Amino acid sequence: MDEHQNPPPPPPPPPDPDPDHTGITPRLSTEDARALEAFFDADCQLDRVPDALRPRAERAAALFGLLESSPIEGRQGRISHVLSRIGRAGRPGVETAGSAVPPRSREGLYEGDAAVLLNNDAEALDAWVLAGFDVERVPASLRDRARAHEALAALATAPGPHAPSQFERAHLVERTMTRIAEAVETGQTLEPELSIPTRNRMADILSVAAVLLIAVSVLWPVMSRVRDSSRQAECAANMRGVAHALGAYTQDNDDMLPMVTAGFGSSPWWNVGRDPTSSNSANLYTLAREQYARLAEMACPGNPRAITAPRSLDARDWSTLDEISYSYRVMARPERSIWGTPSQLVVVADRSPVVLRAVRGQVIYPMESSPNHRGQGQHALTADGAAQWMDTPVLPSGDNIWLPKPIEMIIDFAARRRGIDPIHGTEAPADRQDSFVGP
Amino acid sequence: MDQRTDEKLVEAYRQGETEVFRLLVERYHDDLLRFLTRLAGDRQIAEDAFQDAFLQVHLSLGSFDTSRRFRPWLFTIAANKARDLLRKRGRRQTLELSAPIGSAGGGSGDGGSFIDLLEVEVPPPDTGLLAEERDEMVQRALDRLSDPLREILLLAYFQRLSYAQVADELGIPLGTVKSRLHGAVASFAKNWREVSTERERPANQE
Repeated sequence: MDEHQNPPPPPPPPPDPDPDHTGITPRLSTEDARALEAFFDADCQLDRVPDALRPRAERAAALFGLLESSPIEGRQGRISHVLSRIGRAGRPGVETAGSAVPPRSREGLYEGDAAVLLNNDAEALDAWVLAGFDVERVPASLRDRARAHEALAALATAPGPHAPSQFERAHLVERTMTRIAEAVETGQTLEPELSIPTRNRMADILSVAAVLLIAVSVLWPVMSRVRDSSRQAECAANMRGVAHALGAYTQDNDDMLPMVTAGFGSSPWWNVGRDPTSSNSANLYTLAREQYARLAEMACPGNPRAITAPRSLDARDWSTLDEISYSYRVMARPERSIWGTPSQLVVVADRSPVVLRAVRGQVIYPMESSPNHRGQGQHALTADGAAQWMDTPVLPSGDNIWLPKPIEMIIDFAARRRGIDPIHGTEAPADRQDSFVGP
Repeated sequence: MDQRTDEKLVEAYRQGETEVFRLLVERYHDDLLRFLTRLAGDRQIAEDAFQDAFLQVHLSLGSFDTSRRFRPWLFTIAANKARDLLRKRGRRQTLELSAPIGSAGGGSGDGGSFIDLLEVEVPPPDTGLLAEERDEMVQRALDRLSDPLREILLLAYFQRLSYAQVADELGIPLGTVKSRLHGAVASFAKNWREVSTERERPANQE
């Protein structure tokens, strides 16, 4: 209002007929409005409404079916909701679906401005559902409106532009099957929260469970082998994808291997998700961030917790160690002219079991193979661009890919089997010929 | 491709044909993932819920009554898993703060509560709208629904079940299913109209 700038004050404005901007004029008498407000102020509990207003509040509440429900969220929302109902109910020629009572809001289901179907649309919806969602079987008088429902449903269910590729599809199926296999292998059973419906008798359940257990234990080893080889094939395909990505990256970046960290100093390079400046996986993640490789290509189907899409658009690293499928050369310093040379240096490999143990402060087993393939071996991508399957983590040259040379030199044969003290995450490759990957 | 029904596959899995589980996972991959992506509004959560759902199916198979249908059972489990994950990962903002209340800002002056479906324009695919834009608008319209409404809408749309079947699956009274679905469809139609209008008038000056 600009009253101060206009010498002749304008006549007082008429009372706003629509203070809540519902777009309609409320038709309550002042007393009714006051009673209704008091009712809402009392959190819809009639016994807390002042005596003088209670009879009116009672009537209003009963009229709108609110007696059965708990408060709708937000006072302003409540009021405009009810006022718009009143306005509508008083408006001739508008038929509402079902009763004029607003929907119950027991669980806060309806927003303050919940929409309501017209009678015809509601009937058409019911008829369409009844006809098994077949518009042609809907009575002709309702068919047009049923078609509108069909169009709306198609809108919500249509495959989007980001439909999963064949590759992503196979990947999710594979990861799901890995989870199931894990559950079978670890004998995981029902979680307590998911209790079995009481309508099933315990004896029935036990007999079914027994049959399942026997069947699974007989058939699982056979199935496991088939599954393992299909997983290895997919993982090898991933490695080839990463090899292409590294080729393209080094070409665009002056022959440098991906490195976004500036050395690690004294902080461990396995700070995954906490600090991308001291996390070696952030270096490998660069390939995804700069779109040289898809995250799905760096997700091994043998790692059920691998992610195939970024957690956020500005992500610079995986968010936890579990999500990482592949270990990358520990980049303690920038390295040029390594990729694409006829070297057997391992640049990327299936994730390191040594790091997974060391992070938890456990004894490490240098001869252990990657958990990606159930400890049977791992893929290793060497600087010459070849991806190979290794039954042990030790290269023909005697170099262990999980450890830097200085540590390898001080452990004897017996210690390799027995286990040694964990590494600290601050170790670095001894030289350009020393294969050492993590985390 | 195995022609057996889902229920027959479940039966076979129980009898020891372990490889049929993969068939079920493959059979439902597209539909279930699309459903979960719409429900959660996030692909990664949808993929996690997808895995959780099948793990749950595997774990609970002993209690599945094969005289019932598998699909609704799976979708209901999946919806529960998505809900759990959303809760765990810090629930997303479902109602955008900028969402108009009623149609007060739109100037149509009709009060905005009642929706006439014949007035809601749903352009057929490949007309005018880019697939990406359309996809994003649909998600926005869905995100503005409260969680239970979004869930019942998508369950009904994706599963194509009768009211009685939905009531049975969700364990809620038939009348409630009906009124919730009516509310959900109306709100979705209204939200769709709103996002369409916002798109047409992106720089609407007050």
